[in-house]
Amino acid sequence: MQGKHRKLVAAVVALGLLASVGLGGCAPKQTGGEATKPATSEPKKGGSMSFYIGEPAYIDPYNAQETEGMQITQAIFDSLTNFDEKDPTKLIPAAAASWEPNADATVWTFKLDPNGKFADGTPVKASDFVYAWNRIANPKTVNTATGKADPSIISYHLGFVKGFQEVVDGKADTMEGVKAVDDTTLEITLTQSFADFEYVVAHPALAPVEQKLVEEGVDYNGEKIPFGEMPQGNGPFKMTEPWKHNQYVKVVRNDSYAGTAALLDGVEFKIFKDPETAYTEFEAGNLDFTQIGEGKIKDAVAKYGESKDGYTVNPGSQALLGAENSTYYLILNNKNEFLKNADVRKAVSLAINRQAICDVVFEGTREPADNILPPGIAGYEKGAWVDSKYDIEAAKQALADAGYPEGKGLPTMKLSFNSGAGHEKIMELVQSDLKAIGIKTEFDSADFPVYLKQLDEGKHQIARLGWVADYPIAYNFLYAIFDSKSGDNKSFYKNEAVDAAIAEGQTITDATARAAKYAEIDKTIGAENPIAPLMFYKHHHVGSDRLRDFDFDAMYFGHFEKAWVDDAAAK
Amino acid sequence: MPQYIARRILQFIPVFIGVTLALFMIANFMPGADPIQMRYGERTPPPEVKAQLIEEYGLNLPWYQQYFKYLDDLWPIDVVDGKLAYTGVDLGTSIYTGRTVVQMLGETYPYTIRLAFAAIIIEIIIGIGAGIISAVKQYSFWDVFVTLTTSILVSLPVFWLGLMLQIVFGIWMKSWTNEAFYLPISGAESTNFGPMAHVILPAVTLASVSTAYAARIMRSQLLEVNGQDYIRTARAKGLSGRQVLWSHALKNALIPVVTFIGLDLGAMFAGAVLTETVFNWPGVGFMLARAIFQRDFPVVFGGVTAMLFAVMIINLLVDISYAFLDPRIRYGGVSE
Repeated sequence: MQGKHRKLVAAVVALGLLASVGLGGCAPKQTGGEATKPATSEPKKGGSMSFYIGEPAYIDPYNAQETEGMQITQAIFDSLTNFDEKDPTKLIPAAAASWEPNADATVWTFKLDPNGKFADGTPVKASDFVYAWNRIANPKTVNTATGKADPSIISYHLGFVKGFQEVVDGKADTMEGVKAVDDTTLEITLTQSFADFEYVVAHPALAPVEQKLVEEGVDYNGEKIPFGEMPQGNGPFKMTEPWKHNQYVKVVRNDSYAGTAALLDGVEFKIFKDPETAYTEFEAGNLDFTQIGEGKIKDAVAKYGESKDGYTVNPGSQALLGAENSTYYLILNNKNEFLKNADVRKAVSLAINRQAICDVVFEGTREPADNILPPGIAGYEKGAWVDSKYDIEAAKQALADAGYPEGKGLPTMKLSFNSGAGHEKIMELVQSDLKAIGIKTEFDSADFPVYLKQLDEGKHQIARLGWVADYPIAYNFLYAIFDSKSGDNKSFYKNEAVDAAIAEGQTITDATARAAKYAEIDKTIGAENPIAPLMFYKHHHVGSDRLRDFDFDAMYFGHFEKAWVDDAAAK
Repeated sequence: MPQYIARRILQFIPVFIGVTLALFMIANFMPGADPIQMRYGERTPPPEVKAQLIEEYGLNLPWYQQYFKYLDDLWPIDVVDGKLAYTGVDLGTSIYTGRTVVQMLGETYPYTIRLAFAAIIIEIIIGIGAGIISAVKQYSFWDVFVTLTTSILVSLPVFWLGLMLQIVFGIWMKSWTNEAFYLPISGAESTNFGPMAHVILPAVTLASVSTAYAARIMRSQLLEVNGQDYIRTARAKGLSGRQVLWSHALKNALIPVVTFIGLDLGAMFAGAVLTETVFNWPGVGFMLARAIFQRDFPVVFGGVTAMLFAVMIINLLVDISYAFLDPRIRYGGVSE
């Protein structure tokens, strides 16, 4: 038996080795792994990096919405302006070399970079923006992969452009407010003052596209590929092969790019079904940048080192924990019989121990929110929402002031959230905090689609939501979440003075004065606690020790154009 | 035989109608069935865009009208300019990606088939082989080993086994051999590995439980057949053990194993969600799972339709294969 046993062990080991020798023999150099060696000082050209994404819905800019697709769109297109990788509240020129609004910010004139070119060498003209933007607005726009009507779901970016509604309503084919004055001058007329419009036009969806390529397809190995499968843009990278669905999207440096040429030869956006699988690949050294798997953040920080600024990957500081421009909050339904009482809402907000949630559920990698505006947004003031803090005595007092001392007289409230997405633990802590002041709650969890429908129907009482900024401006938060006309105002907060003030803020062309105005509006809203901000989201990402100067900014965009790799110094 | 095949195809029609009809009813009556909202996530779609998309995808129609439209689009022959013409199968358009379901299936199904065949080959070679060895060498070390291994395999969760294989063959081996020898742990192709290398770990994972069952069925069937009179007669006639096994015992013992493996292949053609997820395999199983979550009904209906046809064809082939294994089995007539 002993002899047989030895044979068995030998056979198993031999089979394993055989498989590996035969099939893994051409294995590549490891790309991830622990960082030990310092960065070389001089950036150098060459090499490529891999980056985790989920399967995008679209990579054609006209429907670029989710983060996956937008990473690619951002790499292969340049919109008029761009966010600075270190501070997204600062704008830098992109396709537009300069721009200016008129006195009341209703007309914007963009002067395009005359050297701007698409990947095929065709100059970028103002008319390419006119075509691209009308394509977004027009509900008859077809999907290039199917030839069927597939309207853009992100046309709201152009909601203030003059003539937008007419195009949506089918009364016009093009927006009156988008004009190519000449090849390099684009003039945009808005229906109202919008001083932050320069941030809106940084969105990757609003990039120029070549009409010929959209309508006829892109040449690839002698055949025409639908534009949506292999979009060609004016950005630092370009696609040289079509999107391999559920597997990868590969881009290479665009040598026609008008801006500073990228150092990387290319980027492979590797598509994974979930972050856990991607993180396993990262740990195996087969991926350069990914999300850190659930429950592994502290380990990753210890193993790979934390980035000092929270956004830049370099050897030994590879784990990114920088704040994102997004906030997790509790909706308090202002139409509810009990929650319409401002003191009840105040009590709810004061009762929640946000720090405990961040520590217990998120290993300290989220920050307690003291405002709906995240710290990276102009207009944020620390502690502006005075009741967005943990003060149990003040919470009890507020409840008593509301006429419900120790919660007497209040019914059991519904605490709603979407199930199976990790919100259970947060809600358990919220439930226990509210119970401590006498507010009884019961869980009302539902599958995500059901939950969204419930919110849409206004059936909720206390419910969770998150807001991720489209653009790093206060207006994007305050209008969407609190303006009574906004569909995203799920707390049904209504304050006509606030509505007017939010619109008025956009008439202020001085950025500092505008930020001050929004800070004031933010404080006014905060005093009424229409919602209870809970946490600011933070990155939980990690890069390999090959990467140098790779920025992953607060807007969730990777800046591949400035990154480089150093295989020699990597472990 | 042709009558049998025709009868089986006709039998498929009520199955097809039953499954798809039930699916349409469930999709329409389940709560929160708002695929347009899902496309917007936590944001609220502009009402006019939402209304347009609802009309575009026919979501404003009653469920039975949607069902008839689905059947009409599925039927590949239509009247064009007063003449019958082949118009192709239309399974609709994904609400989430705007791409046709046929396109999406065309991209995912080849990977599902590749994985299924690789897993079935493992199942046939290892499962049947181990079962035969176990039965022939009953109560030996190998019998105990096969019995023990199959007991462990059937109780191992697939995702756990997949993760372990990834760690051992993708991470540890890479480290132990200084990156010289290891296997890819996810995806279906890459610049560093050929497609065959990519399929090994997912196929082993997918085949694990079924291989164990195949081995057990093979063992028990072979032991049962070995006890039959005609086997004793064959031995008494002086045939060698090998001749008895290959010429007499195995053919009879294989029928239940073939049934099991055939049904398993059909199930694998319906996608292996767990294996595909663990190994990031771009197959139809995960596509369907994601579509269900996103309430992307055209993809769900199209995917299920494709699976129904695949399972029906596999089952038919399995039934036909019986005739080759056991000449006594005749279709459409009286058994001889």
